[in-house]
Amino acid sequence: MEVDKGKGEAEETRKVAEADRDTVTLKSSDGKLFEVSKEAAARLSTVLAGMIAGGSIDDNGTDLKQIGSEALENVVDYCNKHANSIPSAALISSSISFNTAPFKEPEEWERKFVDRLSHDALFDLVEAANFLGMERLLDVTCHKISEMMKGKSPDQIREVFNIKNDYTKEELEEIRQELAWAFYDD
Amino acid sequence: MESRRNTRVAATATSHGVLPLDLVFDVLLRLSAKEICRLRTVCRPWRSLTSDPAFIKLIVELGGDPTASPELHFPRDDMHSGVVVGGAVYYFVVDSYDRFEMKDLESDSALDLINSFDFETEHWSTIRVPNLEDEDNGNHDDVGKGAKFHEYIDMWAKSVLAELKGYLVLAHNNRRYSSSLDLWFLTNMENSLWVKEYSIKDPGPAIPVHEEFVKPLLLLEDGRIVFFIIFFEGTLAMYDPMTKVFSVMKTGVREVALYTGSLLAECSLSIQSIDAGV
Repeated sequence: MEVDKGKGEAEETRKVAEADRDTVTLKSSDGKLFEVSKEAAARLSTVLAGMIAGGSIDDNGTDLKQIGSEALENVVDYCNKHANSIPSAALISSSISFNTAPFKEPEEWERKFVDRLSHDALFDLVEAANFLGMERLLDVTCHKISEMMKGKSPDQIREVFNIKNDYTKEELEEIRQELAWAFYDD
Repeated sequence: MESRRNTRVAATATSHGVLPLDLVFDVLLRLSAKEICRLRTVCRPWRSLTSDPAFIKLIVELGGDPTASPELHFPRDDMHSGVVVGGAVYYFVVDSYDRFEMKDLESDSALDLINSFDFETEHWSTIRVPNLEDEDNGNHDDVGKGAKFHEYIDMWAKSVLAELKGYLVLAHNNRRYSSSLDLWFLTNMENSLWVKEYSIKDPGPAIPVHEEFVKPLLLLEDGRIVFFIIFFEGTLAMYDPMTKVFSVMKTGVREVALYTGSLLAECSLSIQSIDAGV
């Protein structure tokens, strides 16, 4: 459904932007340049689609000041890989059974794509995906992070996610008692 | 789903290994209600995020909370007093033996032992308990008024009111005459028409003979019934009508709470606080 919409936008943008090139150049916050398929960028990112359609793409490198080079490299890598992958039957069927599976399961290659990332790289990528309005990549990265949370104790979560415990000991005890049922194993 | 994108805030160049709250929002939406509740103890911001009605609404819409139900629920009290069924409360008129009076027993009818109050119409009514004559097939025709009276007292003493599938249910641990655990469903309130849907013969050691309070809690889709028995420290038992077997699920249960709302919204928790009498 989103893929169709993306295609429509991509075709629209082809008409609007007269540029002959079929790639766009993106510039990271630290000044590195990356080439990405214009079609894939427009299809996968609502923000890039808007920029392409609005003609605000700079041939010398469109500034993305909010995204570091490592994250941008992953974004570009993802777009190019996605451009080459054909949506599998699993992906199509899961989008039909929306009620039982509200979030699309990542495909095998997408899973591998995020599995190889370090924590910091993954967090940077999810932010980049959010900033660029990349629904699908956001799904994949959020899915990965939610998997990381499953079965972990609050202490472990704080450690992995660099979160400071801002409860007092008494408050924590109170909440734990309130939510005691959630701490029992099934 | 599109609306979630609108909550985006300007991302920084690097996350420094900390996930911004709007992305935590997106991630937590993918977890189960139980998992989310556990994560409320991580830090304050996570707690307020997951207690936000907008978050809970999305979770329910996305199906992350299988227990979510739009029904309106009233608080339930302990076993002795009453039960709420479909917007009305039902309870036994008498709460101790010495409140019974012989004159209450009319020659042919059962005792009007249950009161009900409808919250919406604010209407009071009285309901007779199931008729013992029907139950015993007239075997006790010859017993005197006094004996019959005592049978009703016995029924009252060994019965619990409950709600199953929207019906008022009287669960009678009738071990004195027929050695069965009977579940009577009230099918017509005006006529006090009770139907004995279940008569569980010789329930076995899980249900003690003299146990006064055997409360059915849940009738599952597959026909199995969950019971709470105040025996020692409280037992949860499951009855399977296919195998006709009672199996003990858990002992040492002091209190039982039935979740009828969303796991995430504390206000919709319906607690059935039952003291196991220890």
